[in-house]
Amino acid sequence: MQRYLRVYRKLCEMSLETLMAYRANFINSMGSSFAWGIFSFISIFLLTSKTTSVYGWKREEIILLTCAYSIMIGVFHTLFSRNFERMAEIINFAQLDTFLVKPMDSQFLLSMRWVNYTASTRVLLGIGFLFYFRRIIAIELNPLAIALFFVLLFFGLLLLYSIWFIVATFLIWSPRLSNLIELMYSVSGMTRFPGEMYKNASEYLFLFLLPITLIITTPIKFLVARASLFDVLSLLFFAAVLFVISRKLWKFALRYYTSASS
Amino acid sequence: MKKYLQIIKDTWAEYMMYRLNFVLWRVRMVMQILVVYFLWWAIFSQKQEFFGYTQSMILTYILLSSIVRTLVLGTTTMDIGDVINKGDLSNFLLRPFHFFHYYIARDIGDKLLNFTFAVVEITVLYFFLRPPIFIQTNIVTLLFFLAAIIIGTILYFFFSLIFGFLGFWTPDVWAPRFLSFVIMEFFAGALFPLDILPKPIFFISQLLPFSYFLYFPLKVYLRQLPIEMLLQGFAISIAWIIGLMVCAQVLWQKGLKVYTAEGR
Repeated sequence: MQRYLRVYRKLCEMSLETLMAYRANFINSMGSSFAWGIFSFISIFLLTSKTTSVYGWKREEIILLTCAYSIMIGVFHTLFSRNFERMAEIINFAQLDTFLVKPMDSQFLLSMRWVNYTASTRVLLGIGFLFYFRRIIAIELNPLAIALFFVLLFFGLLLLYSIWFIVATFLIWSPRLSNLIELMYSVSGMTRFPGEMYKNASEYLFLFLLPITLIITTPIKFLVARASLFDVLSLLFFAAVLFVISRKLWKFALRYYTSASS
Repeated sequence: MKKYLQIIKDTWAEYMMYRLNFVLWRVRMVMQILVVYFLWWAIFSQKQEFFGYTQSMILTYILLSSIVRTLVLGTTTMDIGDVINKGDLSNFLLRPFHFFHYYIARDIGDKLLNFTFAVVEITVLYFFLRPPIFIQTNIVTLLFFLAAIIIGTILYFFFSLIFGFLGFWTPDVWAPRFLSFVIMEFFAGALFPLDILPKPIFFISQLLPFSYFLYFPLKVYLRQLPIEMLLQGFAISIAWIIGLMVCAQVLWQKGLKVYTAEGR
């Protein structure tokens, strides 16, 4: 474990050095990330401005959901999404060989090789808005509730990671499907809205999207004391099961990796 | 003309080479429409009217925007930065057609293919969701709508071209393009009609080119613009076309002078 932490620290340093080498790119990316976050907030304020509640979700809770989404997606994009973006290229050009021969877990190396620091702007923005709106949101928060909220956010993150990794694993069989990762950005975007929105549109769609809708809504429901035991257990269950599936599927998929063109 | 038709055919062949990838791209588009659609459906679950819009108007706006965006925002010009940075521009300079014309032909191919798919998708979604949409039957309005789409398409072509030409001066083309994309998505009115924004922001958005990509054509279709606003919209968008066209030409000429065919 310590070895992994040491390696990860080194990888973080290397990502930072790369970032500093292209400063204009860094500033632009920060700007984009910031603008994207701000526009998401403006959109949700506007769309909920004439509504007191939607499908049982109060306006304040929807704003809280947007804050949590910003934090969660910011962490996810910082730690993982850039790695998934590169997966198609790595597999297609047989660079995966270099990951497989290293004395470390290939899933760890492949999904945590690069850190996208610019996406952390979204995290800061989410926290900033959370503090700014804490009076409007008016929720009683105690340290234990906050701690458990972050534990649930962690499981939400694990669930999101597992879904992305399972989907990205299919690149082993079809490396040219780079749009698969693009698709996952849209899937992640669906987590920002309450599951009830999909449930009222279509029961089938809701069942299909169930694991995705749990990712952020469950921690928020917990924070506003609306989460049932079923919600919490569902999140823990899906996060654990899909993570195990992602590991097994990756090991299985590697049998089909042909290393063509290396 | 024949050579440009060939470029269009080549663009289709290129997309059809990676069919599943193209299908996934379309799936992504459908998902984005559905999310926005369900969001508006949820908002209208408790209201009859929102900022002066009825449910029918908004759902028409959202569904039609997904078709209009394939025509206006569908482009292949985002490759240009890479073409310049990798030195591949040299190949284009040797060919018997203008670089701009090549990309216009490619864009036509891209737009036609995506438009066809979008029409099929929206038709399928219509039969599944049965939304109360508004069908415009006034011929004059439809002609204005078509004109607004053509203007938006030309405007976006030059807008995107300019960002590609940044490749003459910097290898970091992706980040400014992404930033422009973020701002554009918001001010084009893809998620909601811009007139629900606070008045000062809405006023600014009218002066920017982005609102003429989606918002303006859709408002023309919905016939929600008084004649003076309609004429003002056409005037501003045409002024933007002239400005961006001149800017693209100047950047192209200056860029060619500094182009070093790096990597060749």
